[in-house]
Amino acid sequence: MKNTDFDNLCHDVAFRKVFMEYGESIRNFIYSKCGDMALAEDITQDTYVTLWQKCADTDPLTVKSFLYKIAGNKVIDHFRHQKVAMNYRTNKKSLVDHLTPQFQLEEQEYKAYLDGVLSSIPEASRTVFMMSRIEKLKYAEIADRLQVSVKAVEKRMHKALIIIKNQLGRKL
Amino acid sequence: MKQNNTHETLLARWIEGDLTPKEAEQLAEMEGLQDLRDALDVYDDMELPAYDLNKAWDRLAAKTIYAEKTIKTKHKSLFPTMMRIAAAIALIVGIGLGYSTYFRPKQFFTSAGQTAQVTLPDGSAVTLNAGSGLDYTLWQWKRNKVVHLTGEAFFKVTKGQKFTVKTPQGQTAVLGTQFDVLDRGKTFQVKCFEGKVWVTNQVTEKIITKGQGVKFSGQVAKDLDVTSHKPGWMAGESKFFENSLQEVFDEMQRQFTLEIQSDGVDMSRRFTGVFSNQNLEKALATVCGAMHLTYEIKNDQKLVKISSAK
Repeated sequence: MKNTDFDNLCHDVAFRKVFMEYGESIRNFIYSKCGDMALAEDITQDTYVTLWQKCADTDPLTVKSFLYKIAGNKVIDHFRHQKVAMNYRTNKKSLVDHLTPQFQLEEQEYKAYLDGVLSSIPEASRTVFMMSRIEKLKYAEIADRLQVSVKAVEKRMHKALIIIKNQLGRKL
Repeated sequence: MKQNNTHETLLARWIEGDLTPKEAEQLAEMEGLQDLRDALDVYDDMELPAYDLNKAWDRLAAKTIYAEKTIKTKHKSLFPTMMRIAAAIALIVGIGLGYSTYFRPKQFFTSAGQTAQVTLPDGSAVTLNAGSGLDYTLWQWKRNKVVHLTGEAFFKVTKGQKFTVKTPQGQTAVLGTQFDVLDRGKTFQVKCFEGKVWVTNQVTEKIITKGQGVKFSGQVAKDLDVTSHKPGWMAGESKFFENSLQEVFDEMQRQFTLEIQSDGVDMSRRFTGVFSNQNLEKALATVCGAMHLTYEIKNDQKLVKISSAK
């Protein structure tokens, strides 16, 4: 159970550390489900507040997957109460690169297109896809965070890739 | 190794390079994989907005560490909702546009007597000679800097950029140079005016540097000397080195917007020389004089008849 003060999550240093370490991942995870960044940041806050409330009973070694579990449930709760269907949408920021301005605009539009393709992927597969490609996590790590098997992660990823591939094929 | 259901994880393992040789073989048959790989590159570039962790922490700490009680509040003010609606509308419009602008070919053509200037996404400048065409899609550009050319164009590539020009008979790859590519009929020719260029006609490869050129006629590759800073046609002249009369008169037709008919002239004879693109009479005099031919200009300079000199 509780070891030293340092390990105990009810301590402000430890708790802050857990936030700094996984806060962005949790936000991205929630975002992959709802597509709304402001909402994702709100729910991230709620997730950590819940963690704080349960800090005494939380094993620091499993806090990572625990956070994902809390976050996932919070998203479900939010939309259940809202009575609005969850609808993945997109943000409009894109990277600046070396293209001249008129072509930057076109690239933004293409990225918006690809982001739209994401909304056609079922939620579980989309989440895995984004954790893999945008957060650059390995399948084993994704499996650990989501508490599923690596095979399950691979299946979801495969599904996402098939959908993207087919969407591209149709357009071309 | 479990055999069941591995096909349900196939693509997931494919991108990690985790396939059995048999699976790799199967995938070689699958269509659309290269496009998928390219789309994945774009997804990899997508970054989500930065999360101001420090600011978020301040907010969180106030609710946890520094709070006597933890109070959960959720406000949804009208303003953010309006912004989300606006974003959704912008997205719907954007998706429609986004695909088509990325995949729609950008095409540039010149007709007879015309030259055109095109600027590529990286700032490289392309000047098209008459009767030529350049096309590319932003998709191909992002993928591997490829443009397609028919006819002839002079390229001034922004320094440090890699570039491939694909023409029916070959490819030219460069690194920050100035070069001219010509692909007409059976002739594929590249002249390098600055820097270094790699050229292939799918059979032979060659690297040429400033002052060098190569001309492929079928399988035969001939070295060329390039003595000027820019191709002749950009200075109002058409230059030829052992080109067939057919090629010479074809170019003349392109430069002057007219039709040339010949009667009993051996069009495979070779011509080496220069004609002016500014003056039809002078051009004809130059070529015909050198080749013992006579010419007749008709129909208000729209038709020229060539025949052998008596």
